[in-house]
Amino acid sequence: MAKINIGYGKEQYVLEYDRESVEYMINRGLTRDEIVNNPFSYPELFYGAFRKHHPFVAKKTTDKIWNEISGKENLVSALIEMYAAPINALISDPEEGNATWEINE
Amino acid sequence: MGDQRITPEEGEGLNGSSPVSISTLFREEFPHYMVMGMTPEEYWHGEADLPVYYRKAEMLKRSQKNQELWMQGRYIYDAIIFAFNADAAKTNETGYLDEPYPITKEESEERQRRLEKAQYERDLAQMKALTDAWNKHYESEVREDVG
Repeated sequence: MAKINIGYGKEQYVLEYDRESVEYMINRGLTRDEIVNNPFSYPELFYGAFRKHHPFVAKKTTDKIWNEISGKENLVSALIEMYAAPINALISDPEEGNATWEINE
Repeated sequence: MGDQRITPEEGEGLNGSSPVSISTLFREEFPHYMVMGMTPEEYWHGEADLPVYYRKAEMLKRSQKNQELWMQGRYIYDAIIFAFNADAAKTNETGYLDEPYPITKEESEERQRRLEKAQYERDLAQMKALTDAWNKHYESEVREDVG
């Protein structure tokens, strides 16, 4: 599964989604529709990816990193892919070509 | 996986975005993967693709089990056939297989080689016996002529 490494000051962060963090973010309101329709949800999507490896990083910190980070377009694509992967693994087999979902920005 | 699995067609949240639906999918699927041997840690925090491999392993396991059951049935069938075969009982043949059925291609080829070799040795022994018998007969005839 894809991971994103981010360096911020002296800190190194590994961003990744698992089923627990996807569920956690859904319960916070980060649904698929929200991601599709609301670009303002991207910082939330970014925040959720910290939960697996850095559960104690505050939203305030991730927002700060988000604001300073460059190449957001590619980052958002990667985040969406990471967010969808734990769901797709349950509903389909990539080799079988069954239904999967992704978000076209 | 059991009959209760949520399929993409039925999954409420797959075409929509109800917060409940994906959570429901995760929680409904969880026991099925536990039955397959997945730990809660692997399910909730493991690699995203792990369920795919667990499903494939489950299919292999089922196929293997199916093969074993078929094999068992076949052996029982053979044993029953022998038990009710009066001719086999009269001749006191064991009737039952000397070895298990070959499963792999290699085993099958190896078995074929062994059978061919055994047949060749039987033919050779039979020919030798015939030759010996003929030689004996010939020698006795020669002896009678000389005598």
